[in-house]
Amino acid sequence: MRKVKWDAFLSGLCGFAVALGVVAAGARADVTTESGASILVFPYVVTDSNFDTVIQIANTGNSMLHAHCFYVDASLHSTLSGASCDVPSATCLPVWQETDFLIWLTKQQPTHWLASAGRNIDPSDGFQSDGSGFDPGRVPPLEDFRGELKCIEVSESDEPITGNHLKGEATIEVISDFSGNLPNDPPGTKGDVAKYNAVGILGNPDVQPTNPLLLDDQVYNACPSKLILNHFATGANDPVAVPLTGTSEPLTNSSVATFLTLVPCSEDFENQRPKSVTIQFLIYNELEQRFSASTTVTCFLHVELTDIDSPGQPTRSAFSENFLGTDVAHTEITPVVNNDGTTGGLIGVATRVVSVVGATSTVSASAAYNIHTEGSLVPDGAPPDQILLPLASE
Amino acid sequence: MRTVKWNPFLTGGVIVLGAILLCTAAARADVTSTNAAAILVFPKVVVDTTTYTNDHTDTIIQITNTSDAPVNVRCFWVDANGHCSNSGKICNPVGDPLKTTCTQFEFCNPGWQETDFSFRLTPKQPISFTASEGLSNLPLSDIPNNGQFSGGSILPVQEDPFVGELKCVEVDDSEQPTDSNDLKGEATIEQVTGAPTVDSRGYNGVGIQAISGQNDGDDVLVLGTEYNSCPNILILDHFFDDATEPSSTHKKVRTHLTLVPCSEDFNLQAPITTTVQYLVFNEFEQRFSTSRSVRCFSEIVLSDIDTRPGATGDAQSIFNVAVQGTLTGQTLIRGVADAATTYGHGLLAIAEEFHCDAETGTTVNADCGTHDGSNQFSAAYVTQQRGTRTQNDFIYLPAASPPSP
Repeated sequence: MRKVKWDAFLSGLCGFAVALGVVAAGARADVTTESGASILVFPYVVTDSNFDTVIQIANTGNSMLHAHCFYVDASLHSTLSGASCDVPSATCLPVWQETDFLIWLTKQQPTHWLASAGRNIDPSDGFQSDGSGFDPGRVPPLEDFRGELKCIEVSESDEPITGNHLKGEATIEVISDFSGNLPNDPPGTKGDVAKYNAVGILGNPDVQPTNPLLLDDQVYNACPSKLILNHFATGANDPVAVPLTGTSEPLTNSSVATFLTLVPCSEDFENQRPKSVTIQFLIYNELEQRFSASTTVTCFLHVELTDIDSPGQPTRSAFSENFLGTDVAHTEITPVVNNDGTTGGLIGVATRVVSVVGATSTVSASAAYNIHTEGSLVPDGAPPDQILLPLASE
Repeated sequence: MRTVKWNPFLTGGVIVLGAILLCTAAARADVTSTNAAAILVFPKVVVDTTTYTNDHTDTIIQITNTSDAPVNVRCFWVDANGHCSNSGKICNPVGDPLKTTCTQFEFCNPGWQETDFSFRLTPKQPISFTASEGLSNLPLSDIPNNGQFSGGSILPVQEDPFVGELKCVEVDDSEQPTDSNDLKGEATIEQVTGAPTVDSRGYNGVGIQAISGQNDGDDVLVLGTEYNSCPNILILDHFFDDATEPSSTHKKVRTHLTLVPCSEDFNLQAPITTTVQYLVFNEFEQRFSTSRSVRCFSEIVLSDIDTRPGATGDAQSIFNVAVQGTLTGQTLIRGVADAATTYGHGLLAIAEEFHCDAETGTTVNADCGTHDGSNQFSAAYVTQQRGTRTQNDFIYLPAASPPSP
């Protein structure tokens, strides 16, 4: 019989490696909204005649930080005239256009810009003025934009690195009053603001990433396998307004709507190919009753919940108060695995809009929430989510 | 020379054990606002439905059981109202002294009072309630689904007006803490008037996850051993106070910071004082610092951290645009540790950003963020974080049932 003699050092090393593997698998989390990260995603950025967005980004590290940022424009434009349009159709399509730029921040430096104005490089900005401070680089202005912003930490030579030093917030502002139709198309009140933390994807500091960036829990954290959203049923009364609502009270009605924004984790910035992910919604009301719906996200989705399964007829939707029968619900959003085993993760943000109806007018206010997550999406036998960057140089 | 012969299997085993211990230490991450957890903290809850006619401020709390099994929850309202020393009226101990509700010969005593309640959620069940009214009957408390009842009731807050914190802990059937992580939640603070006007801001509840297999089930929750540690440093990106926002609305911005300690003694009702260090960076990378202590709960305008309460001195604060010159800044917030072994100095926080019309004839917008803010809108968000505390934090729960005689 052949006897294998174990090498003490080698066996220890192997054991250590196995255990480290366990550590690596166990320590990897999904996306974060609390820590510095190597990829920063702002799922919802909008600038048009009604809305504008303030972007805040900070370097949490003690050395210079460079970031390669990508605006992904998913706004609807007419294929005939090029003008913006509202209702998707054969001649009203999203543009799926990316625009990228580089920013750099000194240690612990915060910066900001207004999406519609971008940021100039102007050392003569005055004290307390918008551009005051070290300019992070030229940030392009946007017009009639609805889409996402993704920033990736890179080296001075524009190679991706996993420093985990980026953090950020976005503030969506209503810049002019506009009307709407309750319950699922609320009006806007000038000055209203909603703010969310950018979603961060941590990189593994021990690995040098290459293009494409793999969100596989080895190079970068994987995207979540499930999103969990607590929300009001669309059309439900607002519980704070209810005591002021009635025949002898100053308010006649109140209503709550929820907008959901989702973007795929995978991007192909080189070929400008939008990624599609089919998702299932499992909706639980307060009576633990379960309902379901589904839709497909191609590149970007921003929708009031009832428009997912019943566009145009909100009271027939599984997300409506009329259907759910309770004021709040809990929805699990899960990407579907295709027949070939491929799937894709999603990142999102939710905005709750409350409207109150008085004798003469209807006003609204919004609040944004980061969506809860669960698990890591690393498909078995299929490629993980990946971000393909355009070549930095020809 | 004596040669030591290593046992190959033993060597491997020891190293694996070491790595697993390393893994256990590494798994003790920080707190989370986007994952289900065993302890859920809503740092700021505010109610005022009595001070003004047709003008209600209230907080909507949403809590969900994310698991497929029922969970029991034990919650604590922490009333941080101040009270006037003679009349007992509710007052704000860190508010503008020129607007205090106390009379000339009174001072405002800070307060800290907990009230607890418990309830049970069926699998996947979401609930919501307003802090002013609570929820006397939970959905499914009388009609079982799949043979399962929810149960218990949610108390309204102890006073109206109210400002304070809500903390919830996942417990087992005997109301002892468990190591499951099934709770998630959101808070929405709203002000509605009959004019009509409405303002709304929301944040995710901050979750502290239990470490599997580490919970001893007693009434002392150890953050750092049984549960994840609190963050070592909180990071707040913010507009400097009184900055003019860059959008076309040109409103003035003020930020309120609410801090609550990770260590709390609900059993002896003994508030803990923590010195907080602030490092402030502007967009020129210039660094400033200040410090201030926090005792059990603190909601404060940034400009009042290093100046007197109210408008006085705000233009000289390192949190004010008049001093910093740039619109935004990044502030690192750290509770100073000490040698205590029965409590720690970790902190949790949320920020509220108020956007108001400019006040005429003054360089500061002191009313912004108060009830008198002009044409005011707001947003709330959870602060970010870095690192974990080396000093454990402790939450002491009162016994769920009286001790045996």
